[in-house]
This record gives sequence, structure tokens and C-alpha cells, in this order.
Amino acid sequence: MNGIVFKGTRGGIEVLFDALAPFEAMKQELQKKLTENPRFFGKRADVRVSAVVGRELLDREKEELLEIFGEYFNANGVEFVSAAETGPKATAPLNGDATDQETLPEVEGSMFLFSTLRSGQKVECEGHIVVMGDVNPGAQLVAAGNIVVLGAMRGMAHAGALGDAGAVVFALNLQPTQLRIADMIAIAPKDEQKTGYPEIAHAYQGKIEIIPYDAGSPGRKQMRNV
Amino acid sequence: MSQVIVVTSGKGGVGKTTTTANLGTGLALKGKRVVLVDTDIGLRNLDVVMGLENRIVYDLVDVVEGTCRLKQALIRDKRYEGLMLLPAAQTRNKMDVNPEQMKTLMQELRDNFDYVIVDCPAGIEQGFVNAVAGADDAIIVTVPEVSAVRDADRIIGLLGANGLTSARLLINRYNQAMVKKGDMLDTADILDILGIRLLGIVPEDQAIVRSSNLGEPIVTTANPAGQAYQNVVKRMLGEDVPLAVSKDDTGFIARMRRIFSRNKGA
Repeated sequence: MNGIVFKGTRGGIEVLFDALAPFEAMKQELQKKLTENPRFFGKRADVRVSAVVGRELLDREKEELLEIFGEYFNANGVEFVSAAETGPKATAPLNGDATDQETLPEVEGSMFLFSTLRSGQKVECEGHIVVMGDVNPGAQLVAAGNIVVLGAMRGMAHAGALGDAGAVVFALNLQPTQLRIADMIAIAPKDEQKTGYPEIAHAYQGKIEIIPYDAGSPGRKQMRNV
Repeated sequence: MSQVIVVTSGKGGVGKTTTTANLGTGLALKGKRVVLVDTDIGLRNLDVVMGLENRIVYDLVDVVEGTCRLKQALIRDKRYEGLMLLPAAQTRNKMDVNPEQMKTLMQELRDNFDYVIVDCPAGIEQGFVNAVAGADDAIIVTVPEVSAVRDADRIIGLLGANGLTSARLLINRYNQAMVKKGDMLDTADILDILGIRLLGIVPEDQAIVRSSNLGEPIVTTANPAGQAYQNVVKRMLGEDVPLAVSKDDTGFIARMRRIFSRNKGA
């Protein structure tokens, strides 16, 4: 079952509905997602919710969705946006299992995750991402800002995804499948050994460079001046 | 208290069915009432590995659709007291059953057995969703290959999303010689990535092929793999059987560790 994606944005939560889904399926899926993840949504009564739907909804349909949203959020904070207004990106993907999408909502634009991300899980964020856990091969992190992994980073990380070449990726154990910063892409050399100390990846002269993390290094300040 | 345990892996061919057959048989030998459920509808194998293929009259889909009663579909394994099999349908497909029906079925089985061991099909589609519905525990089977570990990781994530967080790992087809040469992932590498509890390690053993073909679970024999499965069964029953996790049990550190642990035990 496909259908609904939750995205954290600076303004609150964006809920993307599959444009082609029949209304009943849409409703059921929303109810299901909200009940399944009460932890994520439970205490977010003050959050602004934009429900992005690929087509115009009837008033009756809006009321029904509002009723469901109202159990978890402040119904006054819910607004309906038609996908046409926000551009083509605002439609849910048409393929894949609903559980594939581990796109978690976030209030302030940045995200703090207290779990290990496993293969197939993807987190996208308009701010920074901090993971207290590992990021396993096959998992993806995409942030407009920096990415900090307090664990092993073995998956794919894309920092500065909206073009900020000054963004960095930090990990206690940095062994990524692939690293991206802004529009640069890097893969680890084939014979790369586990280092055993924290490292940081940043852009240097148009390429991604990985250096040992040293909190006192004078290079730290220059990092933003790419 | 009865338990519904799903045996799953994501990747095919890593030994889910063999594991289901052996753990089920092992538990029955320990005096438990056990039912093995094959959810691989359309590609059933568990009946073959158990040597019970020729006794199938009704199957899981018949029970779910009400064509027969549960008792009529259950096949008693006459060799092992307390062991039964609910076979999958071969001529139907996975879409013929839904998770709600599976939950109901699992509840009914739970009332009649100590252990319900569910053999899950490969993949993460409907067959997987059906198999994990109604399970309260999971055993993840993997082999020491990067692709199998990757899929196991995905499965653990999906189980977690369904509220099943107590999954334990069984590493199958472990080849000590290859690990020593550095040609195979070792236990520590696998546990490092997956980060779940280890239930057991089953060594690569050619006798498994023979036992599967003959329909006689290897757990009843003294083969290395049979011994390993017996140990897993004991751990499932709460016995404390040490795991041989050390990378190289002839090395200096391992020897020291052995000496120390012996002292501790004394």
C-alpha cells in the first residue's frame, strides 16, 4: 500500500497524499499511519500541518480528513494545499510499501533521531540531522544542513542537499557507502580501513575530503568558507 | 504460555525452512507441543523438508477460507510426539490470504500449542506481511554474506516498524575455516551491523543437504549442525548455553579468556 508521506519542514509537518489514491484509501492510510506512530505525532498538538493533495478536495472530504487530523493535531493548524501550488515534488511516490518511507516529521526544521537507521530507511530534512545510533548500509540521510552521526555511518549521507557546499558530515565511525555534499559525490577508496576515531567530511577545493575530527583545529572555522 | 515465532530472512535460500523444521523438531523432542506453519503459499517446501509431503490433504488456504476445519489440515508427525505441520497451498498464491486472517489463525493455533513456528517466504511483500501478522517473536536467519546481512537489516527495520523489536539472530552456514582466512564475514562483523541478540550459529555442514532431501531433520543427529540446532533449542527454552563468538578460538586472547572464564566458573 502506498500513499502518504510525512515530511518535516521548517513550518511544521507536510503530509503528502498520493494524487491517484481513491479518497477512502487515503483516509484509511492516514488513520493507519497516525495510529501506528503515536510516538511521533502524539505531543505535537501545536504543530502546523499542511496536507498536500494532488487534486482538489470536496468540502465533505476535507471535513473527514480534518476529523482524523484533529485526533492528533490542533485542527485549526491544518491547512489544505493543492499539489499544483507547491510544484511537482509535492506528490507522494507512487511505488513502494508504506513502511518504506521512514520520513519522520520534525518541528523546528532539524531532526534528532534516537535509533539506528536500517537498510531501506530514509530520512529527509530541511535542517540538520543528528542520529544517536548507527546508519547501516542501504539507509539514506538527506539534509539541507549538516549531518551528525553519533555511531557508525555506513549508509549514504547527503549534506547540504539544497546546495550548501559548506555543510559537513560527521560520524564517530565514518564508513559511508557514498557521501554527498551539495552537488559533489564521493565514494570511499576500495581498501579503506576502519579508523577508530571520529572523522568529518567537508568540501575542499570542489571535492569531498575526510579528515580526523579535531575540536580545536583552526581548520574548523575555515570549513564554512568554501 | 504459548509463543508464535516467525522465522524470516528477507533473502531466499539462507535456510529459513531448514531452521523452522529443525527448531520445531528440537522443541518437540523436548516435550513441547509444536506446530510448524508454512506460509510460503505457491512455493511450499517445509512439507518436503519434513518428509510429510505425501500426507497433505488440506492446507492453510483451505483453513482460512473455511473449506475445512483447522484439525483436518494439521498433519501429525508420527516420528516426534507433539509435532504437527500446517502446510501451505501449492496451487494458490500469497494474495489469497490477508494479515487479518493470519492473525485469527495464529490465535487459534496459540490455544492448542506451546510453540507456533512460522516459516516465512523470502521477500518483503504480501507473503512476508502475512507471515509476521500475529507473531510475537522473530528469528532472523542470515548467512555470512554481505547481501544476506543487508536484507536481514532491512527485515529487522520492517519488523521494528510493526512493533516486533525482540528479534534474535541465527547465523547459518558459518564456515570457521573461511572466516579464519578472512574470506567470510565473522560473527562480530555481522552483530556489529545488525545490533540484535544472537540466538545461535549453525556451521556449514554437508549433512544438511542429505537430511533435507531425506526429510529427516538434522537436529536429531550428532552432526555439527545438528548439535548447533540442539543448542539453539535449549536457548529458546531459556537454558544458558554459551555461544562461541570468539573470532579465533586458538588465539592467544581467546586462550586467556578461556582460562579466566574457567577460574570464574570455579
